[in-house]
Amino acid sequence: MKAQVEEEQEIKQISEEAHSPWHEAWKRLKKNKLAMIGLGITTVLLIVAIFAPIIAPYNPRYAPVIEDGKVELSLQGPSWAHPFGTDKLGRDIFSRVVYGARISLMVGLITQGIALVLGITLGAIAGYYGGLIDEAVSYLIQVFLAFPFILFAIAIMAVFSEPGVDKVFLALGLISWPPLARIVRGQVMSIKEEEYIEAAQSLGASDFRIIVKHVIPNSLAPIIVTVTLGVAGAILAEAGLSFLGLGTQPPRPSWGVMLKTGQEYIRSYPYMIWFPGLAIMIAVMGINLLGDGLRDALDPKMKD
Amino acid sequence: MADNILEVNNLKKHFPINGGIFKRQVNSVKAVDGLNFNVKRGETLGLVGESGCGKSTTGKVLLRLLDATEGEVKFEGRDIHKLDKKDLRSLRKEMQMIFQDPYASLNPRMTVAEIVGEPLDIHNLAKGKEKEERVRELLDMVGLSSKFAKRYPHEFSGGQRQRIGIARALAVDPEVIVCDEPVSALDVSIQAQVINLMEDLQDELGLTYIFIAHDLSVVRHISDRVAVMYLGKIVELADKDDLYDTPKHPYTKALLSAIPVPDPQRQREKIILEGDVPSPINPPSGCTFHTRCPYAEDICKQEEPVFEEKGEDHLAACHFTDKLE
Repeated sequence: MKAQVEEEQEIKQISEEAHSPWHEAWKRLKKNKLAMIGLGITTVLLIVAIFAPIIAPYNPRYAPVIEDGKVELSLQGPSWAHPFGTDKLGRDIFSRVVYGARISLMVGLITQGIALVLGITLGAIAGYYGGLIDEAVSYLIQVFLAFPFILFAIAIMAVFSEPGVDKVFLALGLISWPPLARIVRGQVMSIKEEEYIEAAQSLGASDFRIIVKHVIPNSLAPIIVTVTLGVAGAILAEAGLSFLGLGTQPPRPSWGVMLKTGQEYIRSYPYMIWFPGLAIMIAVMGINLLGDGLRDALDPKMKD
Repeated sequence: MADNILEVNNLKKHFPINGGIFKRQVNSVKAVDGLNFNVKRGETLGLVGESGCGKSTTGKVLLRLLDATEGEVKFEGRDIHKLDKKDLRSLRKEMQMIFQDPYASLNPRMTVAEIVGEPLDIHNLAKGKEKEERVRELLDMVGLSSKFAKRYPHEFSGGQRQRIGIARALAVDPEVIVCDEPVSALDVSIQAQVINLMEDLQDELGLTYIFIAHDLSVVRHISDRVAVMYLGKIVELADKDDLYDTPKHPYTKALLSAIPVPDPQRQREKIILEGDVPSPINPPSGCTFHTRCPYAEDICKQEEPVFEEKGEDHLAACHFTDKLE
């Protein structure tokens, strides 16, 4: 048993603590500056969204009641009291942008949540079982991907008699799953040929157990990347729908709604669209940077 | 005859090749084409042959990881290819597998404790503290410290990973273990360690091994009996010393002559086989080996030789066994 003792020592030299594959990915992510900027922006976005009531100095939906019914605060440029200025109704644009982060993030997360459930379920079943089920699911994916994303979203929103943010969740969720399903399907198809899947089968593991415990954990990396990029896409789509009047409805402070109301004043009061526009740009850019960084960090072939 | 734990009768596995517009079956790869053999309780049966001769497929069909096209595999008298889902699950507790590639056969996202504990979960064998205890015991059995239970497979060397694979197979307390080239991916020095471990475990737990390999010296070391496969068929099956000393099939003889001898002075007669292994899609007529056999005559092209006793407990399929001596 001398060899065994030697082996143990060898292992000790390799590592003092356990290194999960996630730990390694985090180390790679930390080295990527752009990804860290993305992570920073995303974190700020999250904090702003969660603590909106604390951060925002004014009510985002209603202007303060002014004596004598005068709307003195209407259409003010940026100032110390109103860093982003006020809109026509005298509402503080800074507060509205802060609350807008809430809506945007909620849209991003909820739609991607729906997409995750649909995409993983359909993709995993198609990839694992193959055959007719696979052909049916693949066909459905093709059909969904054949429509331009925003046009499809408009079409679905048009079905509802009254647009609103809750319908945006549903519409975007229903059309965001195909790319995810396609990726999961491909991953499952390659992973199911791995020897450890065969090992699990020889142990008597059920299909459900194999998919949940072996296949999905090993395809998490591309899923995470797709979902992250999907959040950014959904934020952009919501802004687009709201701008067209088919998404979030006023007085809810969605960034898209703010752009829509601001466009009337684009010549005289351009600051009204600067700030929501910048917010959309920075949020989407930040999340995309994070997504790209995650892709590099999670890809095991990129090991340096 | 001694107590047979496994009886294999006319086992075939053909993989269909589909083609044409309607994806009809146009042909098939005859990976395993009619196997007949028994495995005795507690023995190690070596299964050797070239790459692509159907060794690994045989292993998988024996465990019903693949469904057989024809024939039966009887484990303790019951044909495992006729079991329903529930019985098949309980069969998994009796028959296990050790895989060739210790890098591919362990899930990289699971810790050692999770990997070794998984069979306990699947079959509800142990939970909580009891499970932890059993995992520790299993790791101890294969010579790994339970200190490393929380580590991931990529932190271990090939030999250590193979030990983890063995511990996983042992978790359900199986009777039969199919070992699919368990040491061919390992360094020679590590091979010996793993082989010794497997022998110790066999003595301790009374395991029956079906040991698939292409390394003839390893097979000779570990096996009690050896079966030689060629193009999906067993051409010779005998006690290992019998087979290595007096091969009754020209293919076996050629294989044995290719074993390297660690003595530069010694000259030996090497039989070089001409050509390649024929395609298992259209195997040659008669004796499938006739295309490469130095002893082949007309009868070999026409008539398939019977797999029969050529000596005491020594089976071979050849028309001209007598010529070999």
